[in-house]
Amino acid sequence: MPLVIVTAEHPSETDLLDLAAGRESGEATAAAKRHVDTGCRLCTRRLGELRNLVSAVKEEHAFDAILESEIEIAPELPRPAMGRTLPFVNAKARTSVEDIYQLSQTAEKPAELIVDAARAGADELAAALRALDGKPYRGFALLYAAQKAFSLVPEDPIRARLAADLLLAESATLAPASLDSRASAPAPRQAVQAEATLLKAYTFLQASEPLLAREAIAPAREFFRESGDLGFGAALCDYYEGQSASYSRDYSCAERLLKRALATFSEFGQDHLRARAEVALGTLLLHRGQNDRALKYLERASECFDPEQDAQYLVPTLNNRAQCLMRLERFDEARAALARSLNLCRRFGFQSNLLFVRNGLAELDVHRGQFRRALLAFSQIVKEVVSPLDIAFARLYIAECHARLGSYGPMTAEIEALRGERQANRFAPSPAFGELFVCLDQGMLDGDLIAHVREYLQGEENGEKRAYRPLRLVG
Amino acid sequence: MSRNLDHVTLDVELERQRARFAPAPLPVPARPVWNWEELNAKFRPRLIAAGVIRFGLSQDECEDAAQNVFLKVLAMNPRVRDPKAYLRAAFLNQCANIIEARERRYSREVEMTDQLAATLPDPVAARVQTVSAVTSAYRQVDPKCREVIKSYCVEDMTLAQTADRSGYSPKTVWKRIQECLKRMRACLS
Repeated sequence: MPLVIVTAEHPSETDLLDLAAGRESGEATAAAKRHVDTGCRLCTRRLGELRNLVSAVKEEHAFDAILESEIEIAPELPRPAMGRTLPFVNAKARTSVEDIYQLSQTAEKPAELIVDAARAGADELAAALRALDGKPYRGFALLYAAQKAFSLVPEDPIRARLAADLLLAESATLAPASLDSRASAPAPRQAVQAEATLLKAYTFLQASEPLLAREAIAPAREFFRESGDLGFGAALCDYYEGQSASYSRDYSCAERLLKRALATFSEFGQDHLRARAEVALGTLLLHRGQNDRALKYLERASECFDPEQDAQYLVPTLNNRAQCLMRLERFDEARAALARSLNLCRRFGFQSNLLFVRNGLAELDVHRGQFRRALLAFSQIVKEVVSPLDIAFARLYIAECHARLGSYGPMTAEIEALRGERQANRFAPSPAFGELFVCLDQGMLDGDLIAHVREYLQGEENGEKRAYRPLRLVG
Repeated sequence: MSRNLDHVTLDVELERQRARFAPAPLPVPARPVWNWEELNAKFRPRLIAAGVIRFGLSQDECEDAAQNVFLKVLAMNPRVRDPKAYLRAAFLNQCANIIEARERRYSREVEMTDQLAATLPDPVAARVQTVSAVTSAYRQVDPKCREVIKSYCVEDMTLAQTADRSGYSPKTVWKRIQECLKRMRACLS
């Protein structure tokens, strides 16, 4: 899209739009027309794009007008005399879809039982699958079970993976999809295989194995294609692959995939999935330090989620939004977002997210100069976190708070403790740690240096690649 | 005795308080409450009619397409919250597939090379894609923006009328339109 600076020479967008829409010519529209007629290539292109836009909007409106019309449309439009013989184009067509609908409804409960059985154990799962043998709704039950088992993944990825493997094995006996024949199976083998493979990929993603997840998504794509997918299945693959790429720090590929998923979910009108794609995009941009862009996605997503039904997605969205606002130094808004997240965490008992919120609030206190309160909070957090990286960041914050409060003894003790645990985290060889410890030995340690090191390490953790710039050890 | 009673009362009160602050169970993700009767008896004929009227497809082709997309939405039932929107998008994609297949058949019949066929514009296929693209773009801009674009482009309202309807000042509407156009063009491109 061309960047147009509207000057006296180039007409504004709305004047060109008037021209594109063929409106009555006012003075400005006439001037715009004269300008385009003089042969301005840029404005000719702009006008062309606007004409396309106007006709596209009109086309969409005309299509929707038929769908939304109040006029009663006869279920059976008159058809040519040369009738066809395929089962679903004759008079029984709707009955057939209704039968399939009833079958799918019957399959709902057995599918839930399969997921419950997967939660209970392998034997229970095998028994639940055997209970489906010979049932007409078996295909739908397997298909729905694969889709519903996604909720099991955050709870227990191992059991979810076992469920995915068994569902994949069970699907072998289902009728295949036949794209050439019009009488295709309602829950074909490839559809179940696609969902089960995608489920398996998600379990890898949850277990922090993004490369294995990406490998698993490739066959899922193929299964969706073979099942006659109309774009939605491919978008699901894009979404999960985009997330995997984001975890493995392949950011450009992740952004492309997530944007494609976002466009398709928008096209299919599934707002909850659109919001999830937006969260993934916002988080990715946050990691890349593009805070303004990230904030737009995260804000749109947080408005879209239902606090009751989508609490598990809304909480991380609010947390990331708060992080973003904090980086933009909009502290009051960040605090409001964290407060909202805290309420939801307490209400639904999200323990791991609660720790994230507490960490965020403590960080906010550091940014606002409330060092005593931040010190108390981080002293609690450091006792509860288990990851060496989280411990290192908590220690850096504690040391920084001590330094700002003038307690140099505890500050030194904290950095000494950090040095003792240095080998446990992956920042061990970082030159930032090098400068920190040399300054500790030389008695040159202060709050600014600790904050400088922390900010560098946080950037590195988010995938920023930049050389470390020493603050004290010049040369 | 009375002390014991107090104790009992206190425990009950305590339990009640605990219950108030205990984490609520996580609600089951929203399940679509489909009005199947409406979808099948009203929406389906409208989809077929829209395919016939807007894209010039035959009724049989549209019925096949509708049948297929109804099967697809049933297959995706646990994931779909808005079945109408899903059916609409899937139907458009199915129509695009039908037109594409027809074009391929036609190009084989007249012995056209694939390269030549690819260079010839197909207005119907373009129209289907346009509707899909605008739907996607509309859902990525905020509802007010959508309203402003609709009033201005479809209902042929003037800037002043659009401003009047949306409750913005004419200057704000002008700004809104600029922003919307920019975003819509980005989505469509």
